[in-house]
Formats: sequence, structure tokens, C-alpha cells
Amino acid sequence: MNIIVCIKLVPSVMNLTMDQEYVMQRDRVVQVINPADEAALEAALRLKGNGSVTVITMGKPSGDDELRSLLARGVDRAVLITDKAFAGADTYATARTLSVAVNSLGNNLEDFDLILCGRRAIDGETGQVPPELAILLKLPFVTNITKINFNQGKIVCSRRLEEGIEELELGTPAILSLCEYSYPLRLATILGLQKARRMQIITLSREMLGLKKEECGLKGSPTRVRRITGQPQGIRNVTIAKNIDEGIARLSELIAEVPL
Amino acid sequence: MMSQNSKKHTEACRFCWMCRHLCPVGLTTGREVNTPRAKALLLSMVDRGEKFDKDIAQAMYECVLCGSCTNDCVTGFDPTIFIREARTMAAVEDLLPKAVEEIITNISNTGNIYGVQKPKYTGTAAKAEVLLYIGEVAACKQPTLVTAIMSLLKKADIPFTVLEEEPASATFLGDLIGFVEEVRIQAKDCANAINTSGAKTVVVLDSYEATTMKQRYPEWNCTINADVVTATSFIAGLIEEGKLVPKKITGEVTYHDDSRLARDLDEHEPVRNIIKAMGLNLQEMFLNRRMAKCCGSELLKAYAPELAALTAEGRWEDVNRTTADTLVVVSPQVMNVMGAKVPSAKQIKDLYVLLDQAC
Repeated sequence: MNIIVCIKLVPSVMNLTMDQEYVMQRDRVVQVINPADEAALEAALRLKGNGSVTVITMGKPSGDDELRSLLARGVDRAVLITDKAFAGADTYATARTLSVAVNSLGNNLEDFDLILCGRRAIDGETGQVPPELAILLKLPFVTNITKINFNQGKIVCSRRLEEGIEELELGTPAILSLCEYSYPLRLATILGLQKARRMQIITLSREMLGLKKEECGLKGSPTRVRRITGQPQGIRNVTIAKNIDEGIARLSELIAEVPL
Repeated sequence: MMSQNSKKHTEACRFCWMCRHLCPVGLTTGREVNTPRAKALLLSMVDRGEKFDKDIAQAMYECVLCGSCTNDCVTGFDPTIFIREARTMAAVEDLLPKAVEEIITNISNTGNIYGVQKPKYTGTAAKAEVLLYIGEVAACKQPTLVTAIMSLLKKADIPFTVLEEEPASATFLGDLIGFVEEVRIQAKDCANAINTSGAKTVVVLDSYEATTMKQRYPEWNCTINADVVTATSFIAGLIEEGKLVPKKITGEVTYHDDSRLARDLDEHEPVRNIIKAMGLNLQEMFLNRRMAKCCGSELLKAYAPELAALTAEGRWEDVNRTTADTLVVVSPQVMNVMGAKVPSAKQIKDLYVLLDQAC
């Protein structure tokens, strides 16, 4: 299978900081691969067989190192979409840029069997880019995927719902977005790292993608953030048990109240 | 190719130089390059365009990864992160020191750092709730220790099993080439073997390997279905439950906290409780518990024996400052490193051997 994986570099939660206006500080912060995107990448590496895995990300030129570490894990091609014009993109402008990049990578969309994404990024938490990308590329889309198999030309996948797990079957090409931690990402191999040193990272700019300035970045984003406020800490109505026995007794009462 | 996380740690030094007074290697060699701070500076230069060469690679191996610098760093940064990554870089760039290369070859040929056929041990049952994970150092170099702990388990009436073909835990390979997929695969094989045994508790003899299983395996998605416990805490528990009742021994001893128990697992009291249960008078060394100075490791001894001799000597100096004539250890690695050259007025004893004699 030929698979494209869209990934995002997000600030590590271990050292995340915000300014007084609650705007995330991205400078001097360690960037890591978004956990759900890691799952998408691992699923792609397991599914590719004799095909290929192409990783696309949009971000700063400093993302180069992280992309190279993905080449060392078995990715065949890494694409970095980077341009000052992309700064401040909302989910729509991001999806539009990604869709143009996907189209520019092959002669036509049939060159790819599958596009995998993480279901949401831990910084923005909107979960909007994958479905927007599917609409722009006019492809079928399923979210919240926890398991994917490819069987006789069909994708068989499990989708997590509030009430349980749904099994779905769909044809290719399609876009799926995966739940974080569903496929823990492998580490780089020594051979992979040696190979990755010699591999080129494809860089795409706004001009190379043929996008107008008003179609990308802040200018191309219909979303306007008017204000961000802190969430005041709630007061929980809790009673602290005096000792373990009291805790167990109270817990037993609560369990007894649950209808079977 | 270093991760952003590593780069952040290399740039984090405040130049307070406290690590210089803690590093067991730097303290004994007196060489600037042997301080964690110097290693960070070297890698910082590499990030700025300096060539990562043989000398820099060599410097990265003159470290025991004991975590003493990390434990006491005022900025909370961790040199072991970038040193491990630099070792990966050395492997990628074909710049591994020759002695390190030989050990890696030994591991790939035989599964252990010595390149020998690992001796086989048998438990009291083919299948049991308790699995004793012996580890390569104890199995190959400390048979007395293995015999002692097995004897203690039998005396406590604990049926136990051992793996017929005990796989490597990935501890040593991870320290040699950093945390790469080859290491994770070795860890996964080990976790699978342990899971196949059906044991509910894995008693790990070497604290280095217990640390890998307890802390690294979950990060690498290598799940062990059983509880992983150190041999020291398991044996201390048997004494507490009254399953082992040691006779009182008189004498004054001191104890060396190995780096993994002391800092990674934060396990300080079980050993002291065992010593207390035997009635021995414990004289603490100046640097104990989390602050314990590392004596070296079996891995360091394997690829840089002269350096390991120096680190061991450094720790013996601390022993000499106590009034105790006996040093008690619980790690097979410590026994091998410290036991290689014991000062004439001192002796070194393994805790399990002592306890076995007392029970």
C-alpha cells in the first residue's frame, strides 16, 4: 500500500508554557510528534508491505530533525511544508494547504491508497483537520480508529464509539484518523539512522504549491480568536474518607447503587 | 542527529559545576572531559557544526550512566539522555570504540556481554507463581549469589521457576547503543518469555535489569503481565512476613547503595531492614541512598576495565572512611566491580550469602 501520513509537531507537555494572554509559547520549547499522529504512522508502517509511507507535516524549518528521525523508523519520504505565509493557519487553511500538498505529491490521487492522520492534536485539540482534508480531497473518512487491517482490497477498521467499538469496511482511497496510543510507534534502528543521514527531506513552499497568499496562513483562515481566558478551577463536592475501611464501605455503597 | 529534547539538555548547563564533584568517573580521573558538563559542551559544539569524531564518541563512553549528576542538578536536567543519544550517534557514524564493538558482537552472538554460553539454573518447579530472573552478570560471574538466593527462596518455602533459556533484558544493549529499535526488540523478546512462563511475580536479581523492566519496558510498549520486584524488596518482605527468620550475627558493616536501587528505583530501606534483621551494626557511608557515589558497573568494566578499577577505588575510599571492616553489597555487578580489588583491611560480602548463612 502507498500511504500518506499527516503529522504535526506539538510542544512537549512536559514543558508547556503560556503567556499572560494564554497563548502557547512555541519558541524554545521541545517539539514532539503528536501522540495520535504517532499511532497513525505506526499503523502505516505496519500496513505498507511493498508500498511506501510518505509523511507530510506543516511547520517551521526546525522540524527537519524530527522528520529525519521518522525516516530512520522506516518512512520512505518526508515532506516539510514550510513558509512564513503559512503562519497563523487555522484548521481550514491547514487542511487546504495539506490537500494541495497531497495532490502535488503524486500524478493523481490514485497514487495513494490511504491517508492516515491522528484524530486530534494535543495543542489545539480541535480534531478538525482530518475531516476537512477528507472533504477537500473528496474522500471517504472515518475517525476514532483503533485498529486497521487491509484485506482483499478492502480496509477493515475498528472505530471507537461512546457505546463500544464499531467494525467498518471501506474501499481505497480513504482517509482515517487514529486514536492516540492505538499503535505505539517503533523506535529508530541503527541501520535506519544510517540510511536516514543520506535521505533528502522534501521542502515545499507556498509558491511551489501554487497557493495564493490569501489562501493560506492567517490570511486564509476564517477563524478569528477574539479572546482566550483561563478556566477557573472548579470546587468539587468531595468527602475525603478518614481511613481505608471507610473508603471501601463508601465505595461499596456507590457500586451497589449502579443498576446491573 | 540528536532529538530536540537532547539538545535542550545539552544547552541547559548553568555552569555551577556541582556535577564535577559528583561524577564518579570525573572524580577519579580528574579529567575535565569526564564531567557531565564537558560532555554537554562537546555535543553543543557538534550541534553548532563541530564534527562528531572518534574522541567525542570515546568521551561519551567514559560515563557509567549512574545518574548522580542528574540527581543533584539544580536545573533538573538529565545528561544521561544526551549521552545515550550520543552513543546511538557513535553507532550510526561507525565511531564505536573497539572494546564497545566487541561487546555488541558478544551480545549478538550469545545474548550476553561476555560472549559465553550462559550457565543454566533450575528452579523448584517447571511452572510457579514466582519467577526468578537471574540476569547475565549473576548467571555468568556470581554463581554463589544465585545459589544463595535460591536457597533463601527454598527456606522460605516459595516455589519458584527460572527461564530455561533466559533472554537478555536489553539493559546492556540499551546502555551501549542507546534506546533504539534493536534494544526494544530484545526487551520485547524478554517480556514475551516472562509472560509465557505464566508467573505472577518476577523477582529480578540485578537492580539494573529490574530498572529496565519496571521503567523502560512500559515506555517501549513491552508489557510484563506479572509484578516486577527487586530481589531485595522480595527477600525483605519474606523476613517481614516471618517466612525467613535470620539468626543474629554480630559485626559492623557498611553498605553500598547501587545507582539503580538508590536513584532510579528509590529503594533504600529493604536492604537496611535485612541488615538490621541480622543484627548487624550498619555504618552509613558519607554518600548514601540517593546521593550514593557509583562504584562503576559491569558494563564499564567490560569495555574500560582501567576506568572501572578507578571508580571502584573511589568508592573503597568512602568505605575506608567508615569504621566497618565489611562492605555489604546486593548487586552482582557491584560485587564484580568492587570485589576485583579489595583493600587488605576490608572484606566484601554479598547480602544474600550472609543471609543464607544466618537463616
